[in-house]
Amino acid sequence: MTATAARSPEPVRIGWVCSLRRFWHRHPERGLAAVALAAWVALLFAGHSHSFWGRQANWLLMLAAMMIPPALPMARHVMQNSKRHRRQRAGLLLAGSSLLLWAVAGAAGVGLVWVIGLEGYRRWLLGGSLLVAAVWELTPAKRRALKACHRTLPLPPDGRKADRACCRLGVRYGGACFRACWALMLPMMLAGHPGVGLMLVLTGIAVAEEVVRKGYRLASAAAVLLTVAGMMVLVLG
Amino acid sequence: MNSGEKVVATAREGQGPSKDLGTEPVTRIRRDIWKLEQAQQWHPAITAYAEAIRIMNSRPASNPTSLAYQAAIHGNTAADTWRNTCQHATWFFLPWHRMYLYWFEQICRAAIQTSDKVDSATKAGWALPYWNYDRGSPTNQLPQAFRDPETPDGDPNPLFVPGRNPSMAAGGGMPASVTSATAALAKHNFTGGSGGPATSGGFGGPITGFNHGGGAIGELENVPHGAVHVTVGGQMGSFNTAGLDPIFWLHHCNIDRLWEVWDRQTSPGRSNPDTDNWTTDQTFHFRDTSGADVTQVSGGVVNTRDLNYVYDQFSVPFARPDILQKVQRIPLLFPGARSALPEGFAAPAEEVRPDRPAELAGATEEPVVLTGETVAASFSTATNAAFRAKPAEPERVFLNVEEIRAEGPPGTPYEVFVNLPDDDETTDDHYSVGLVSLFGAAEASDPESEHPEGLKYVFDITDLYQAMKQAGLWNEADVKVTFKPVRVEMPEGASAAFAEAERRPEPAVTIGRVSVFFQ
Repeated sequence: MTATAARSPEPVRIGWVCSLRRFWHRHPERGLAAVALAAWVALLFAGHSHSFWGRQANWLLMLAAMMIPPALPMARHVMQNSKRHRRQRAGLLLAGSSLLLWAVAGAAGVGLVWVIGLEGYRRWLLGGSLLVAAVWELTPAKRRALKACHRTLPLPPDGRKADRACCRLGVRYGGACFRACWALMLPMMLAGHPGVGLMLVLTGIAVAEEVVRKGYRLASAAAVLLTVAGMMVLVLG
Repeated sequence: MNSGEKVVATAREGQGPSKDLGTEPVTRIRRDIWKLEQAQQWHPAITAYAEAIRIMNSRPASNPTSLAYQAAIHGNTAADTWRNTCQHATWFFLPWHRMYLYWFEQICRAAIQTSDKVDSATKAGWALPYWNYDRGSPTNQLPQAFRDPETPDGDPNPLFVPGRNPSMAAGGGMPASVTSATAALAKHNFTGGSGGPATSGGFGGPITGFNHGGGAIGELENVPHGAVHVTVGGQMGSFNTAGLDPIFWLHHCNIDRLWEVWDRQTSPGRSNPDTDNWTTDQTFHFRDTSGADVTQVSGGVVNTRDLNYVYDQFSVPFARPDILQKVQRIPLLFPGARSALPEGFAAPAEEVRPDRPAELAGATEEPVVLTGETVAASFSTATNAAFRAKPAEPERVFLNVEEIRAEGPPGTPYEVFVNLPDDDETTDDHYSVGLVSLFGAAEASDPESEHPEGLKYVFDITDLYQAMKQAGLWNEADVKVTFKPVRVEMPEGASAAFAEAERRPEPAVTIGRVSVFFQ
C-alpha cells in the first residue's frame, strides 16, 4: 500500500461512469468537436444559397465542419499543456488563428467564383478539382506539409505570452494545414456545396492524414479515391 | 559455447531476491566484453567480432548483410519496410532492439564462418559480447580493442572508428550517473501508460503504435541507453549512424541484458506487457543472413532462450547507494522531514494512478539554452486555488522537460536538479531527478524527420516534492530547475590541452519549456 492510497481512498464507482469521466477529462477539445458537429448539422439542413453572402456563410460552415476535426489533436495538445483556467481560451485562440488563413483565402476564392459566375461549369470544376487534389496527394510538398502539421511550440503558462504563443502556433499550424489540404478544399471553393457524401470523404482523408502518425503513407490510397471520385463526377455528372 | 550447454546464472547482487534461474539448455552465451578483455587481450571472441565487422564493411551498402545496411535499419534518411524503423519513445523499444540484435548476430556469425582468422571452436560458439559499463573503472571505459587504430597484426582495426568523444577515445570513463541502470530497474511498471502531457515512460516506454521517435521515453531508454550513446559520441550520437560504430551492438546487448535483469526482479515481481497490442499486433521486418525478409512480434522475443541465447550473468554490481537514494527519495535526507513513503527499494509513487488528468501547475516562460555549462531556470507553481484541480495536494507530481531541439547531435547529457540550494557537489544527489540524455535531439528537430516535435522527458518527482514540502524546501513561487553537464572522467595523466579538447564546442540545445504538472 502506498502512502497516497491511504490518504485518499477512492469511492466505489460504476465502470462506465469511470470510463466516461476519464474520457471527459482526457479530451478537453470536446468543445471544438461540438462546434464541428454543429456545423455538419447546419450544412445538412441549410438550403443551397446562391447569393454572395450565402456562399460566404456556406464556406465558413464547411470550413468549421471539415477543418476543425483534423485540428483536434493539436487543440488537445495545446489545451492539455495550458493551465486549467485558461484551457478553453487556449483552444479557441489556436482554432481561431489556424482557421484565419482558410477563412480569408476561402472568402476571396468563393467571392471570385461568384463574381466570374462559373455556375454553368460546376460539374467540370468539381471533377477537375478532385483530380487536382489526387495529384497533390502524391507530391513531396504535401508530405512535407503533413509533417509540419505535427510541429509544436513551447507554450508559456500565463498571460499575454501564453496567448501570443497559442496564436503563433495556430498561424503556423494553419499554414501547414493549408498547404496540406488546400486541394481537398478546392472543390468546396469552386463548386459550393458539393454534397454531404463527398464532404465526408474529403474530411475523412484530411483527418486520417493528420491524425495517423504516418498519415502521408495514406497518400496513394487517397489519390486513388480522389481520382475515382473525380472521374465519376466528370463522367456521370 | 556449443548448443545445449547448461548454464547456471549467478544470483543478482544487491537488489533483493531473484527468481530461480535453474539449469536450462541454451545455445549460446553472451559474455561481458571487459571480462573477455581481462582474460586475454584481443580474446578470440573479440577477434571474431572484428572479423565480422570487417567482412560486413566490405559489402556494398545495398547488401542487406552489410554493416551500412544494418545501420540504416536503425536510422536512415530514407525509410522503407526495413530501413529507418528503429523504435524509440515507445514500449516497443526493448523488443525491437532485441530482434535487431538477434538478426545482426546471425549475420555476424555467418560472416565469421568464412574467416580463416577465427578458430573452429570460436566459430561454433560465438555470440555477441555485451558492454557492462556499470562495474566502475575500467569497465566504464571503451574496451581497448575499440580504441586501438590497428589490430595486433598491424592491420586497420575494424572496431575502431574516428570521431568519438576524445576523452572516451583516450580511455576516459563514463560517470555512474550515465552508466547506472539502478533508477530504471527500480521501476515497477513496464510502461508508464499512454497519452496526456505528463505520461512517463515507466521502465520500457509509453504505450504507442509504431514509433520511430518523439514523445516521452522509458527510464532504461534514457539512462543508461541514451546517456551512453551521447557520451560515447561520434557516430553513436545519432540515430542514423549509431549502428556504424561497432560498440553500438555491444551497448545494446547490455540494454537487452538489463531488460532480463529487470524482468527477474521479485520484490515486487515485474512483468512484461501481455496485451495483444504489444505481443502480436505490431509486426517488425528485418533481414536474415541471406538478405531475405523476416518478421517478428514482441511476444515472440520475451524469452531469450526462445532465441537460443542467454547472458552470462544478471547481476547489478553497482546498486550505488547514492543513486539508490535518488530512487528511494528518502525524505530523511532533508532535516525535519518525516517519512512520507513506506520503506522499500523502489519509489512506490508510480503505482498511484489518480483517475483525473495531470494539470499544468507552472512552467518557464522562456526557452532554456544548454551550451555546455550549468544553467538554471526558475518559475512559479503558485496557481489561484480556485482554478487548481482537486484535491489541492497532488498525489503525483511530474517535472517535464519538453520541446527539446538541437542543431546537431548533442555531445553531453545533463543531470537535472530541483531546487538545488548551492554549488556543493556533495549534496547534489539529494536534489537530482535524473538525466536528460538528449539522444535523438537532432533527429527530433529535423522538419523532414518522422517526428519533428522535439524530445521530451517526464520525471516523476512525487517523492521529492513530498519530502521537500515537509521540509519546507518547496517554494511555490520559486521552483528552480538546474541542468548540469555530465562529462567524461578524464583519463589518468590527461593534459590540459586534452581537457580543452573535451570542452569542444557543441551544438546548442534548446529546451522549449520546463514545467511541473500536478495530478
